[in-house]
Amino acid sequence: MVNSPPNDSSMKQSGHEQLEQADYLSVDREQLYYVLHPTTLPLRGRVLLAGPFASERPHRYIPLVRWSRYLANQGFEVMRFDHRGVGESTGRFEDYGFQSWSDDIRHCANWLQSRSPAAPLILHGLGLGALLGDRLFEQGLADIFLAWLPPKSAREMLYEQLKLKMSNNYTLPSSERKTRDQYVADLERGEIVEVEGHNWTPRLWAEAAEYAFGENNPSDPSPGTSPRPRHTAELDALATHTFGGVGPNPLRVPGSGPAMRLVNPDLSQSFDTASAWLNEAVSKAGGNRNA
Amino acid sequence: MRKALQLDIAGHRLFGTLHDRAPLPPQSGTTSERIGVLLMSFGQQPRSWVGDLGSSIADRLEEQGYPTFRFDMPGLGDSPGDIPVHLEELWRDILSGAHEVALHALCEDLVRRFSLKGLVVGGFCGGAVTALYAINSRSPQILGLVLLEPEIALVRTSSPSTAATPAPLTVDSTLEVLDILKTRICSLESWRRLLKGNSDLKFWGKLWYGLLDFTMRKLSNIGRRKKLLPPETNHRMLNAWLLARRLRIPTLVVSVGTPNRSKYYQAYGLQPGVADLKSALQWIEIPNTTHAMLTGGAKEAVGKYTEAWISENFPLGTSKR
Repeated sequence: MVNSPPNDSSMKQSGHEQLEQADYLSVDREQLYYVLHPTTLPLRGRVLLAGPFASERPHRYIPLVRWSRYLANQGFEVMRFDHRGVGESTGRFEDYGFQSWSDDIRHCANWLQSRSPAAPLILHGLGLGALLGDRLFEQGLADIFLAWLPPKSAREMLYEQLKLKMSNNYTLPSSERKTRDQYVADLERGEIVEVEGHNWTPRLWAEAAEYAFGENNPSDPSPGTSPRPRHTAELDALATHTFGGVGPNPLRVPGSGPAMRLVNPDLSQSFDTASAWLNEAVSKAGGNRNA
Repeated sequence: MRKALQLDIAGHRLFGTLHDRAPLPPQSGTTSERIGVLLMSFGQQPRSWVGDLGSSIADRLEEQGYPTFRFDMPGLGDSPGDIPVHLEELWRDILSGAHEVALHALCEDLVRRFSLKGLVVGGFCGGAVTALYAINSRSPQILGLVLLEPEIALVRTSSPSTAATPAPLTVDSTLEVLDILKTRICSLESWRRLLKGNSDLKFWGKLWYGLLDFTMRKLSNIGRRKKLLPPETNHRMLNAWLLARRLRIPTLVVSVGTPNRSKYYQAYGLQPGVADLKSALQWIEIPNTTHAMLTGGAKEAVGKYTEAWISENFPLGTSKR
């Protein structure tokens, strides 16, 4: 199976990358980092991309940036950002949790929606972003919702991330040998647990109990309108591996020499599929708006 | 306070972050006594690094009064550019110096744009290797180096190089040297070209230089170590390291203090944890942590050591802030 680097030449030629801008929004005395990917094409919609949990962020960054550029090349204006306490945004990780990160999404959505000309707002989440976006969408935020690889719940997501703590422990001879359940017990006892450089607080664990994906029934649409489009995409094996770290490298050919990991595979197939759904949803949302 | 930067550097558009307590407007034509710090990430990681170690170090340095920059190299993080499909190919390219040209241009630009006296350049893992290559410019603006978990070995891949900058001829092992020599000496065509004066003298020059360098290194190792350097040794990186030491560029190395990691450095002729005042090298080992230097309190410790070392070697008293 051959996989060559994504062909970005069309994007370079149309100058979308030259228009990308990074800056900060002010939220409660902290700086919220964002990157805006404008489009030079007729505007189809604005996409707010809510990314994954802190410990997954560095590993999903490159494909998310590529996806943002792809969308800009399809006529969408894309905004992606870092939650407070994570990445380029300021603040201490331990001071924030699921509620404040939801507020960050809402803040960015308001900022994006205030731009002109008016266009449908698409809330698009990956992992944690999908989990938080699910609830916000049901509260009325955005015209369209697209979820990628949502965890079943915030607690399940955190429990999964504790594997990182375990693997670190097992590489160190003098480190503690606790199970994930023991770390959960520590959190419930009020202790702080460090995972991949971020301090998890008891509050984070407590808040996590309140977030589950798809638990909110879609609100009844107004008479004469159809429900706002929402979709949980089924990504193919390559995209699932790249965006979620799930499953083996699908491009690995047994006996083909040393195993190599993927950093920049050609995801155009998944991108085309997701983009086609977005185009359809935008048309539908446009119909709803007119109605 | 953080400021988002987007700079056009060496044909690339690089995204970065400036940490500065009171950002001054860029000045031109004047030089201040301010010393900046530039931190380089490695491989696929965005410029905040895994566990946001890079941004936490930058926050500390900002608190101390040092304007600190972090940048994404081409194709990484927010910076546009092309990178290979496979991670190991990306690593190989970076370790071979794919970011060196952009780094030199970036350092020059930052010093000029922000009217700095110079920069301390640092990085993590392969980012430390890129930081070390800053020394190759022999620019007086490179004032110091901070190398966190520097990687000495090259990465082997099953595909040809796609490095943007072709690496110079290096002699990786005795076997490879002998192989090249044997091919050339046994080739009638090679002798014919040499006698006619058409021989590629550049090749022979590089080869003999490589052999001489190799032999000198071996001789200098007599009495200190018995084994040859491993075949995957990144000689280019070690040469830059030697140059930094010869030039007495103040250098801080922070590495993981586990027995395996110590053996790793010793295999390349280095002495982890041992300071060398003569060449202005300080080497600190952090015990009971992993390569990412996050767990076991390492994230805090790395920040503290870096902050203390920079304050000691580049005191703010000399700046005109």
